[in-house]
Amino acid sequence: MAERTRLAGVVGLFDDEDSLLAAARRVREAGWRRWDCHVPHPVHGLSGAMGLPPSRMGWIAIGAGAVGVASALLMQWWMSAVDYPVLIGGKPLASWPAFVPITFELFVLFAAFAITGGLVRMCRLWRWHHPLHDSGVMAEVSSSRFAIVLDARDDRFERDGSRLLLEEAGCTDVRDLVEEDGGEDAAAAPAPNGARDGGHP
Amino acid sequence: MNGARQTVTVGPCPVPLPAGGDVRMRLGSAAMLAAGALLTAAGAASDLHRVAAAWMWGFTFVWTIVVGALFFVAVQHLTASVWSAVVRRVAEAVASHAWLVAVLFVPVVAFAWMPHAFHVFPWADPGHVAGSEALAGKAPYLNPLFFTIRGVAFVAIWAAYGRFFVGTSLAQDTGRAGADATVRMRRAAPVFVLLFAVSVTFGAIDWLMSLDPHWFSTIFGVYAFAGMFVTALAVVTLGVLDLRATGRLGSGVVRDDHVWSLGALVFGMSCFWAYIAFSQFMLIWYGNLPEETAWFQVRFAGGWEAVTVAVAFLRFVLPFLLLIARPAKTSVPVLATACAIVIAGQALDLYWLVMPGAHPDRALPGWIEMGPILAMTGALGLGVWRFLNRNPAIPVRDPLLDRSLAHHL
Repeated sequence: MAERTRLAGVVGLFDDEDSLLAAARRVREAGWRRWDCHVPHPVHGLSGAMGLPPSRMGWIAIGAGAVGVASALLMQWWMSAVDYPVLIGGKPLASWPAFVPITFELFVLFAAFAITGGLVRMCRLWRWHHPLHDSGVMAEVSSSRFAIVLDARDDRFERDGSRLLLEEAGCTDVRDLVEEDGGEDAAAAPAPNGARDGGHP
Repeated sequence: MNGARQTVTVGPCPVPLPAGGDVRMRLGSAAMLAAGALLTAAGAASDLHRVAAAWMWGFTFVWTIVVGALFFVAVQHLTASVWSAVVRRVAEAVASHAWLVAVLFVPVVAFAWMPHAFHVFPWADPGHVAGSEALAGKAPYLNPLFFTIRGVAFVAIWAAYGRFFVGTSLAQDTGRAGADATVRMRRAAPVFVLLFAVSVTFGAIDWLMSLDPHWFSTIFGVYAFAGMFVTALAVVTLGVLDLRATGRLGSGVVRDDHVWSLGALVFGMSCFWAYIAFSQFMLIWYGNLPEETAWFQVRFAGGWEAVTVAVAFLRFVLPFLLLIARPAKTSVPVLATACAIVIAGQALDLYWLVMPGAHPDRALPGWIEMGPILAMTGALGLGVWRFLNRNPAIPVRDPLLDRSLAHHL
């Protein structure tokens, strides 16, 4: 099988976070949707500069928590008042004060599971591979540099124009992101900025 | 860390508050003080027993706010907290009134020594104690002399540390405190926090739990602390929001990041109170021992059941629902409403702790009950606004101020 290559995107590397923030604002204002930033440490104001919407994680947590509360109440009522009724200290079979601790625990447990699962889903952590991993960019980003990745699948992507956008934003190190022997995987892969839902505090 | 540091130009002389906001607060406080003093005087002429119980209500309310604020200040030094430097002065304004707690404590001593005149502490009446084996067994602890010694020690500790923490911070503003002011406050903080734990626990036992001397709850000190700290946080938050709204704290000094942090603390401590309050209730309910359940039975009958439910709503349910969303913690109307509810919840909680012993069959307060708490809250309010008028609204030479101004979530 012949080796094929495909242009997966364009990467711009920055040396300081202020340049990254300025560039992120320009990319957002240019209307890009499939793009992402990679940074060695949390950068204050980055989610605002990228225009990320508020995280949906709170709703996932409260929704799962509500399911936990309902499950706990139903389970305890059924066990202590229906399935195996035992009189304890002359109290009613279904005594709500006795149910509160378990209800609270299942509220927290369900919410925690949903947050973990939701984070994996939103960040698409089940992906085995991404072209960035071959590029050497992640090694640099993990130590000291800041990257903006413009994904080739964005409607606005056009190699020279995308490189120009990053250069105009003050980037002196723009590279092509090339995927080797990809094809099917890449076509099915989601946008790199899929992490936007999970990254917001 | 944000690369761009902000600088702020606040001299040793405070920018005066715009007249409207300041006058409104001081007039309101003065009106409360005057009305409360009149009611207290008239009440004392008509029914001394009821005024004495009402005094305990007002005294514990002001005590929890002031000493809670002092704890807030000490914890910031204990943890070398950076974010809170810009809001600490508001807590100091409240904590500087620890002497007021000592003054208001004087009549409480009289309550212990003159049981027949005031009827506040049943254990203070030798005739009452003689008829009860349980109370006779508690007499080595619950007697007027030891009660007075303990109380005087507690209010002296709070007054002394209030003076030290606030005085050092104010002296730092003008450079009089020397270069090691922050270090000295940090060294004092752990000592104070230990003394605080003991004094607040036994203060709560002496001034609230011993109103029904047969009853006991081992979690009561934590219960009092939870209510105290969340109330002090709510007071500080309201003060910060008001100073910001009236322009004394510019929007560049206290930003949404600081307000969010305060709101999150109010939210978290409301949940903590609920956890402790329910733990106290559930263990007593589960154990079902008569000497423990009697205390709750009084509060589940005679109209008090409505007060019990209202306490749970004001202290936990409403603040929880109001503040759970992230934007709510920085929204001024929502956060201010939640803080006002928390403070009202503390007043009602203390009413619920104090009053059923005095009149179990009447849950609603009359005008006599309102006198002391109005007067004391008015006095505290006057003092706090006077303090904020005379001093900078932020600790202008605190070494952490730069980083506090740059605080980002």
